[in-house]
Amino acid sequence: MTRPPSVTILLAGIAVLALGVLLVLGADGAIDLRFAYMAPALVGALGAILLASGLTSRRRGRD
Amino acid sequence: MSMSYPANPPRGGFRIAVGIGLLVLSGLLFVRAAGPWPGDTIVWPAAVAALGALLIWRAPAVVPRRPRGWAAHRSSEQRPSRRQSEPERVRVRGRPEVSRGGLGVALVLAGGFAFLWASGAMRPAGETVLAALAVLIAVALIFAPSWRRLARSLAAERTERIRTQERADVGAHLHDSVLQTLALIQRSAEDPKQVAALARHQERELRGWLADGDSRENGRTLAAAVDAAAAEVEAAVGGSIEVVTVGDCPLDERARAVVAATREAMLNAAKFAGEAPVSVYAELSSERIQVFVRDRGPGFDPATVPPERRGVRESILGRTQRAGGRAAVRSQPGGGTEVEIAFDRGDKR
Repeated sequence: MTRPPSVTILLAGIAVLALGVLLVLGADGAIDLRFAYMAPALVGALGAILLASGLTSRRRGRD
Repeated sequence: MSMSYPANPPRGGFRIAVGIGLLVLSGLLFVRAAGPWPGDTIVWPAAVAALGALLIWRAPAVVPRRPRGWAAHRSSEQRPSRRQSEPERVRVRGRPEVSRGGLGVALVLAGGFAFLWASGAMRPAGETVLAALAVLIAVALIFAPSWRRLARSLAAERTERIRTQERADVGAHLHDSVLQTLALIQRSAEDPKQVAALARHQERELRGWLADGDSRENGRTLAAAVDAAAAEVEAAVGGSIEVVTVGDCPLDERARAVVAATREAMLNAAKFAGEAPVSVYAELSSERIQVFVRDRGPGFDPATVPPERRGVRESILGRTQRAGGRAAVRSQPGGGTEVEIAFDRGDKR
């Protein structure tokens, strides 16, 4: 029986992909990737992952 | 004795809170970098104060935690007693929620202090404020242990007072009910029927008291009224009536009709069932009332009941129908009798 994909892991993967895209664009010079912009992105990604993890845990009733 | 615990807090709450906090922080950082920013001296103290206020509002009272894992399978004797003092309960299975409120207060104060300091409002009186703050902290550090001990002793004293009062209440109730009944049983030892009736009456009263003392004792609910009616019938006719009730509901006009019809059914059953016990099963809720009165007596053919006998026809069937319910008598010679009385919430008067 196939286990359903974990929402938390999916979201974490998407967040890492998005951060990677941002880094590539910053290295390419397409966007101005300063720490002032990167820090909110990192903190937001971590917050979204934690939020998804908490909501999933609450829905499944497990830690 | 069953114990009740409040439900555990939802799981994942800490992660959700931290996640939301990080998202808000991310938004603030982004606005600081790209958008109109009121200034660090306003936003960060306000954010700290808002976090503190949130902690204060969300800080519940001290709540004992439901045992989890192996602790949930321990017997009630092994679990921490309800009679432990309040601080012990907090240490053993509770969470010191008061620290969350204290942290919230500290954050609000820190936010306000940081705002005043950063905006320069405290510079004129800076030295005085710092001195006052230092004195305040020193006083708090010196007297905090005493205050803590005082709070603990007050909690322990309050718990002890409640325990003593509960013990006195239980003792008084046992004296008024069980001990008096035992004395009556000693006096009536020559009469087995009287002894059985006394024991049954006491059993019913004690069960009712254990289940829900006040409301049942005062007869404000349907279950209590059915119990009382069974006791009356037992006292009047003799015999044994077993009453099992599931749920309960207020004793309104319709419920009174149920009690009256049930009482009549119990009376008939006790009269004609002989030594066989009469059983009463009642499912009571605000949506539906259903009562069954069964006996293993000789039974009868309902079609052959003479018209002048009004007990079943009027007191049970007619009364229930007039109140908006329905009743049925199922009996056959030699097969016992069952009376069903039912009301649905949708029934119209």
